[in-house]
Amino acid sequence: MRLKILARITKLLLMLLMLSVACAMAALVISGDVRRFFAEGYGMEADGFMLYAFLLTAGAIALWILFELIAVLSTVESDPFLERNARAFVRMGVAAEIAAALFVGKCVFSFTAMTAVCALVMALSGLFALTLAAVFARAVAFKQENDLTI
Amino acid sequence: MIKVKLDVMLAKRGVSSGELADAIGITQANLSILKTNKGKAVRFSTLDAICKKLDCTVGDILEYVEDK
Repeated sequence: MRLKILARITKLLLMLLMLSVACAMAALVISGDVRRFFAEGYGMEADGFMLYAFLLTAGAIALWILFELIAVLSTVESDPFLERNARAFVRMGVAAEIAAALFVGKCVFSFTAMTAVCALVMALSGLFALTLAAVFARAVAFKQENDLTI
Repeated sequence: MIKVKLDVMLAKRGVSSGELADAIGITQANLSILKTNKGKAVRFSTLDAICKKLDCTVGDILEYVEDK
């Protein structure tokens, strides 16, 4: 019961986060005010364009990770030890590492302390997800062995 | 390879799969997995229950066959 409630609350919060990121990305693309902000603040030369591209790419990666997380959480109530979930954690790890590389790249052309912190957090999160993927793969193997033990 | 000769023993004792499954407390699906050699392992408690029900020894149910 507790797991069910926890999984549902987490899933709901992740869906809200996903919606927020999607709305922010939509605003970046659609809103004239946002484009003006970049043009005035950063100029629509290389810097402004790079920052714009960085935000859209980072947003897309965030949506990808959130989508995979929600899919994994959907299986928590029934049977989470699936190969699909192990593969999902690998994909999340790879996505996080790509995001970390993106943040490092952003540090190169427009350094801020927050960007550096985000790069570190994403790199560590990626490694954690890849470790979790290995643990899940082991758990799946144990479960399959157990299921076929009569 | 370990071969399961459960079908042979069931025929010898005139016991159906369903009857055996009920007697030893496993599902028919699991018994089928055992009979068709798809299982990865068998618990001692399961072997004990099968031997008790079919009045046989472990050697009557399991046989080692060399892999070709």
